[in-house]
Amino acid sequence: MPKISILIFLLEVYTGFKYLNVNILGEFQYLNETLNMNSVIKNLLLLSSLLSLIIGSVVGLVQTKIKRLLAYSTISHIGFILLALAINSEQSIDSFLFYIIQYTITNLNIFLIIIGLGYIRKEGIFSKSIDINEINEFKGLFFSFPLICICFSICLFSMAGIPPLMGFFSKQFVLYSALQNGYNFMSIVCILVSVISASYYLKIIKVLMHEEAPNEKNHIKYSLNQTNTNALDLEYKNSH
Amino acid sequence: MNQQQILFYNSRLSYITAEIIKYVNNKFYNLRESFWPRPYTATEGLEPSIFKYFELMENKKFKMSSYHSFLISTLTLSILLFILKPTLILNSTLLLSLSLFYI
Repeated sequence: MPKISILIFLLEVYTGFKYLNVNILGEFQYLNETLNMNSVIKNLLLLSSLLSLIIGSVVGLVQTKIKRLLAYSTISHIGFILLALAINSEQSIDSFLFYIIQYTITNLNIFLIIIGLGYIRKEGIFSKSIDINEINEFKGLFFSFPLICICFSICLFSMAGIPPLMGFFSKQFVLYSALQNGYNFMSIVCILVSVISASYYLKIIKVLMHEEAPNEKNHIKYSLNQTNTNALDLEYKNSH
Repeated sequence: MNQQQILFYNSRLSYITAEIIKYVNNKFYNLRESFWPRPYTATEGLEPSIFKYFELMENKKFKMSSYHSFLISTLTLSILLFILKPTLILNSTLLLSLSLFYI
């Protein structure tokens, strides 16, 4: 919510800047003309967009925690949104608003699903938390809860920008308005970044559909549980 | 922490947990008989009652409500079926953008 409010505030400032300068802030007209504030803001937004796109997608690749990965994916999406804002045409503002709506719906759904999966998955007595933190914790959940996992996959595909889902159209609108206004370099960066970020969304889906194999960690956990209950039984017998 | 210490702390923790469960049984469920799990063995294919009890408590506490499911399904369908009627959102965003762009 704070992100969206800041973005809308930026939009208001950016689109209304020229009107403010001409009509109300007449005294600052000279300052506006000499510094060319509009182009300064535009360049700042473009730089922020480029850095967000690159950092969000590249750093997101090495994350193992789901919420941290989603945070980096948000940074990447903010890059798209800032690009639409920087272009500042009628079409780009349209794509900006559509991207925000789409992103809100998808992200809300993803977090609801993560919370829901945390609630309904089976946990033993020794589990400390019902929250899902690591991506590995999704392993094999598709076989236990197929419907909610399909919903999760749809959301992730949408985030990755796979047609005919909503996320694809939002990215398409932003890229279309960028190409229409001559931002070819930024468009290429956006496409590359979209491909890179698709890989980590697909990684989550792969883990989700992966059948859980017995590994060393599980074996240790199981044996600890067994010794624990045996010790418990002995202690109870001694005390009674 | 070595293996013996881990075992000791685990057993101590389990003992305390069992006492709490006994208290809860007596207090809220009027179960006077001893509540004690059998040692867990995978071959039996049966979960000890202590596990079931905790699952029951967890389900009671953190039940995924129908509102939650409804929200998830609605949002997923809106993402999936956007293609069928996109004009609804697109027209509204266009109106918003026009009103913002031409103040």
